[in-house]
Amino acid sequence: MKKLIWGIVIIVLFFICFALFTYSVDETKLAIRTRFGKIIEVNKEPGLYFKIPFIDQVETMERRIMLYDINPESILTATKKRLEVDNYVMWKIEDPQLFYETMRTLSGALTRIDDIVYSNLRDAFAKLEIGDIISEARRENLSNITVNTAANLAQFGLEIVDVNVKRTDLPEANANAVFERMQSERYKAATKIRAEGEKQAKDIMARAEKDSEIIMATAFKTAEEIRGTGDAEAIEIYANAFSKDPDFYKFWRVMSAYETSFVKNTSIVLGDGVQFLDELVGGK
Amino acid sequence: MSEEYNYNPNAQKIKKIIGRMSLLILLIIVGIYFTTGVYQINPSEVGLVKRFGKYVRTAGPGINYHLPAPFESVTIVDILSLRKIEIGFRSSGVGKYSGITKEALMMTGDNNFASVESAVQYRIKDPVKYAFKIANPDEVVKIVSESVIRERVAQRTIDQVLTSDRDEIAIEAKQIIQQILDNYESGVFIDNVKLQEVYPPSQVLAAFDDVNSANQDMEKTINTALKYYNDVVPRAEGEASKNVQEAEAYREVQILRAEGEVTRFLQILERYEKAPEITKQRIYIETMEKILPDSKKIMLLNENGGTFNFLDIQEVMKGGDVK
Repeated sequence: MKKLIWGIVIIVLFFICFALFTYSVDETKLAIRTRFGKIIEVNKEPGLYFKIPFIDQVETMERRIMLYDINPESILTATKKRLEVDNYVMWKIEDPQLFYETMRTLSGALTRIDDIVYSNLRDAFAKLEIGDIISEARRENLSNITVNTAANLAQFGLEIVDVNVKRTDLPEANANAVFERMQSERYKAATKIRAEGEKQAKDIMARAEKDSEIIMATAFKTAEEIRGTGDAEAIEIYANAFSKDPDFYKFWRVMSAYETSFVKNTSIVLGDGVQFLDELVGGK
Repeated sequence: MSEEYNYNPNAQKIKKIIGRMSLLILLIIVGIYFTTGVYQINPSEVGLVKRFGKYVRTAGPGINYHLPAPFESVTIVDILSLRKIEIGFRSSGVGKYSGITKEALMMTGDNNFASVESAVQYRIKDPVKYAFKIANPDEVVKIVSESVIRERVAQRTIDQVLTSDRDEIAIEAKQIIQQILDNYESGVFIDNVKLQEVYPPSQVLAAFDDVNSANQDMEKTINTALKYYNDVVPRAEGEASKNVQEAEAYREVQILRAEGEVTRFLQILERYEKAPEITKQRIYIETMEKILPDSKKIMLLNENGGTFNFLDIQEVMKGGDVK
């Protein structure tokens, strides 16, 4: 019975002492043990640590890399154009002791980061054009800004992992100007496309006229050539045959011409010189 | 005193019962204390066990045990489920969707704006890093993705963004986002980056649509012209072919006629040569015979042609036989 009571007492005391004399530092935390405001121990690794109760104070802070999304800031470019730059910083506490001595609080650290990033960003972008800021070239500039910012903030126990731009924006008025320009550019393009269509159509139609005229003329030429060869061949055939007896040909040809020329109801005046009437006239 | 003593055995018994009961209660309390270390890991999860805050082991799916507080604790991370962030829009439930204009609006390399809606899907490849190395990893994924996609869009002209380079932007973005997140020790694996809707900003949509309709107009105009061409040229070709055929026909006709006539002539000539005068006379008379019956005839029988002078030519031409 007594043993049991003692057992309980020992267990309870153990837990009480454990709570009073030790503290755990989580995997995600850093800790600093102070005594009367003086730093006694810095815990950069997680695990179990000892302390003197009531006298020692333990401050914990974030060990992980943290995201700080800075509010958009207005920046002037090399040609004095205004640009809204929304950037973010990845940072962590590198030296808890230094951080504790110089910053103490997270909000203090953020304000300091804000100031230094802004001034570095402003200095770097003031030498650049918008085109460079939004394009590939900014990467190099950003890594310079990261290096500079890191150098500036090392004295506060902070490590800057990255400074990056989330978005760059034109101020409202400039954005509207861009929209207007885009609009007019597109309408211009549309007009040009339509005109191009007209041009091509006219071209095709003119080609149609040209082609068909050439086709017709070529055909005419071919046809005339063919007709010519026909005529020539016929003439040759005639000439070959008729030259055998030109006089008879002439007579015979005239006769057949009469046959075809004097159609029905042709009025013919027959005088007495006509050979056909020789007998008639001669008999009188 | 003796009465008191009489009570003694009972009191002893009660004391014993109390003792046993408190032992039992104590054991139950201790038992409950130790059962607080039992935890369950679902199939898609892992458990990261910390002892005094320090990570010591990883537990797989199933029922697991860790020492109760304050000795050990567990952080459970879902490593298999696909997580998703959305840029420029938010989907809320099935088929529900709303655009976020300001977030979607991105500047292009030629100083224009495009609306780009994209989604990034990711998993956790390293739960230890994801849980312990970085604060708010999901928010970091979102901000990095937005930054990189904006930067990739800024590398291109608006026309490239709207048409040809969408897939390329997604592929490049995936690679760069992964690189940056690895640099932050986030333990995140980017599964894919998708550009879902890419379109001109609403302020200029009408102008962009006009370009599309201009393209269609152009096509239409050209097609009309081509129709005209296809109508006119084949007709001309047909006409041309007709002309040539006609000419060929003419040639054949001319030749055949000549040959015909000549054959006939030669045959006549052959006979004629046997008796030229007689034949000539005969042909003449036959011809006259043939042509005169169908004609109006006016005969002038006067030897010296005197009658001819009195003949009224006008009257003759009007018709009616003159005898």
